[in-house]
Amino acid sequence: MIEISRHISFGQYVDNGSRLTRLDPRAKILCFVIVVAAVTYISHFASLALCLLFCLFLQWLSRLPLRYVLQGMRMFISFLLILFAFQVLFYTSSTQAASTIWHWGVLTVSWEGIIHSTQVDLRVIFLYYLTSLLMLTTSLVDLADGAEALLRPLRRLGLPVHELVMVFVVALKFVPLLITEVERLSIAQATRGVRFGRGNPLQRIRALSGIIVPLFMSGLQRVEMLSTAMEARCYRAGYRGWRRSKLRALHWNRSDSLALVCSALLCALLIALNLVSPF
Amino acid sequence: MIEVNNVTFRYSGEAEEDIAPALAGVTLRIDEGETIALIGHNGSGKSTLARLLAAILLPQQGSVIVDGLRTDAGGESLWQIRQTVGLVFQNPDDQLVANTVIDEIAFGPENLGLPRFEIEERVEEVLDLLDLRPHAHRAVSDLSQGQKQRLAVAGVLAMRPRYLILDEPTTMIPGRTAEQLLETVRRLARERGISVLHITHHMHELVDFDRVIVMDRGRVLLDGTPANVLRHREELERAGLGLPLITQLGQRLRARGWSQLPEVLLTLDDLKAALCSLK
Amino acid sequence: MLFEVKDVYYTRMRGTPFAVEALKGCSLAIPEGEITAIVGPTQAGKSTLLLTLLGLLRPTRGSVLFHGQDIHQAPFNVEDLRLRVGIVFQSPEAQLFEETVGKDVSFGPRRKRLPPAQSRRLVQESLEAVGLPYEEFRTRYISSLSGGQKRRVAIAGVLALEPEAILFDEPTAGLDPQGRQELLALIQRLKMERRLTIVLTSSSLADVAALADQVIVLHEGRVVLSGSPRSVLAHAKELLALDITLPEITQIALGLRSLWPSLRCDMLTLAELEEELLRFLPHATSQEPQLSSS
Repeated sequence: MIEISRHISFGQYVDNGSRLTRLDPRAKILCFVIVVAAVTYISHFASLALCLLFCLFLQWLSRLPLRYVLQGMRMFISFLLILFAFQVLFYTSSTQAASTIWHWGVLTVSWEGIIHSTQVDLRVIFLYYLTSLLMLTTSLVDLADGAEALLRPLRRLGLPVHELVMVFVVALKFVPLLITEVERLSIAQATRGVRFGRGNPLQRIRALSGIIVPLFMSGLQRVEMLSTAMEARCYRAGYRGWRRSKLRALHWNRSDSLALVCSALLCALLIALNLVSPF
Repeated sequence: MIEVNNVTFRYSGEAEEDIAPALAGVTLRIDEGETIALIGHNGSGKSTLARLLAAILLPQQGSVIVDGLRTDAGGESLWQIRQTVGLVFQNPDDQLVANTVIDEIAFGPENLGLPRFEIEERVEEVLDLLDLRPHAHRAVSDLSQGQKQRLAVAGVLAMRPRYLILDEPTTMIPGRTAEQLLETVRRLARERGISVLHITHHMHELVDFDRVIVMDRGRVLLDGTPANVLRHREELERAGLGLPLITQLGQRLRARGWSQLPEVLLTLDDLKAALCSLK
Repeated sequence: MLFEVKDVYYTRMRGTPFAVEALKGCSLAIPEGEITAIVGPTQAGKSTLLLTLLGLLRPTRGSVLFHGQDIHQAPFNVEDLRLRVGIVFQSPEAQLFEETVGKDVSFGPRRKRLPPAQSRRLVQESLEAVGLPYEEFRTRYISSLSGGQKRRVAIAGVLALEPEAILFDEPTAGLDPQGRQELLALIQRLKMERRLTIVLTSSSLADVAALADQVIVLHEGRVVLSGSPRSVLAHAKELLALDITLPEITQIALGLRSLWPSLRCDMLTLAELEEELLRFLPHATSQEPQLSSS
């Protein structure tokens, strides 16, 4: 409870100089979008198995300790297991020929239900894994720069691309500050008799609200100070005719093109496999 | 040159009669290349004055004129002034916008729309000026408080201001780190002709500045060289400020009969020289 | 002994690529009814040590004893320890989570399910102990208070739990000299009037030298020096190398050693420094009475 930051690997960036960290963020985001689209589409075990192989390959490329990545997924997976139970129990087959194993009132456990729910949840796990890997191997600055570069065409449509990305960057800047603040608040509450993770749900929610309200207040104050500080350095969001320049130039290398081609191939392969595979 | 002409400022929400204004008829002049320590206890109006000089707050009565531009003139001159007057906040966490050291330094120049090579040049320059080169690629959230404060100064210096205002930069960092920061800032003033206004409530920090301004309850109480200001012991005590210990020690020894000691001793070197002459 | 820390190791962010050893074989004892100052540069492990004392972090190795009992071994209940030992953090706003002063200070008593009358009495006593009149402040909004007042409310909130000891994490950081003096005086009063054991951390000896009964110097997760403030100040040169801020008096004394190498540097007040200097100075030449400058 106290060292929250230890249990959150999501959103952390580990700069270990691996091939994945060195890719151009634009390439990484594009590959991510392509692969995620394919993973959302597939449903059969054969393509899921291919997807697992791909994830293992990425894990190897990333050179991150597997335990660390999995540790970050632990909470998510336990949440998913509960979801899995509900999915199975409330599964209603589209065909009538469901092979029922157990039945009580509206609750049914059938083979189809188990298989279908497993497929759905495996997909969700892959998506979560891919997202956390993207975050672990890409610094926030790169992510923001990449997103801004890719979204630039949308500026023509009058979308404030830069401002949106800036909001994202600033929000992410607050994450470590917020985590330390949550740690501090939970310690402060623990020392005054609050016991977290105990009592009925209502008590738990009340214990949490004691953290969230002051967190929100201090967050608001911080944002106000920060926006003053930004304006003091001539950040003129919303002023007509104001143009920012950029220090960072993104460099597209051969390996980036290669990554993109591989992702596209994988995407095609996953979909094809899903079409021909019987399960 | 910055001219502050009879400025009065009240924060909105303060009832007109109940509470004295934050600033009440302040008039002063800051010349180029001067190093000034602005001292006063909490609530004396120091921070308000700093914000008025940096055109973050605008005077309700009187005027602030920076290099011929009125801060309340509106339009482009506001941004011109904010570029000329750099402000470093008390808590670096309120000021740092970006996620890495380099991006933080580049933030201001990017806002000015400078070409890439010039941003790079400025980043390189201030990395060396503030000894941040070893940390250039680190995440801002991993820096120590002292390093964050140096980075905050670096971010402001990259705007190439002519006036640098430091709003109690030493309260959040340990003593020796604070001394090093002040030494750096004074060196900048010497080498680049930047005027420095250092706001503090530590009496021992004012001795190395050209000029000292003492504020009390929204007014300028004393204004002069450190030695001249420290002669006004009673006024200082009424404003809640004691003499620096070295000065006090000198006066105690004088009272003991060593009347050849100077009336106001400022630095350790002064004290040593004076004691040497007794030997 | 209230607390004994025996050869404690603690690794922060264990099992991640960011793991750091914060405590490396730290041993110390905190006597009852005294003020113990834990002094060290940032990242020396001071805050980690405080959290280990409260049982909020479990040492990776070594043990923490409270009144001679290991806090992580049955039958000792760590959660009871937290009601007997309070902590006040560096930034008080992180510690206040209710809307009004009264509500926040009564938070602990309400948690302990004390009868309303007793809880009210505790709140009143605690607020008055920190110098905030009960009737005036009970209904005030936390957000309308000054930084110094918030700090006091945070202390009152801890006092309302009637602890045996209070731990202060960097109590004077970010305060102006006046606020600093007031807070240190308050801490001294808590020790004298309520017989509380006080532990405080600081990166500077300046504030704590005159206040503490015992000073423990922490560096890179280990105790490098401990004893009375004077005996610690006698090692001023070493402390400087550890990046610990020294009291101004000590700095002056150290500086004057270039004139008189045998000058002591364990003085706590200006008067003591003056006396020490008199040992070295030749007799005053002028006998005229000194005129005041004004």
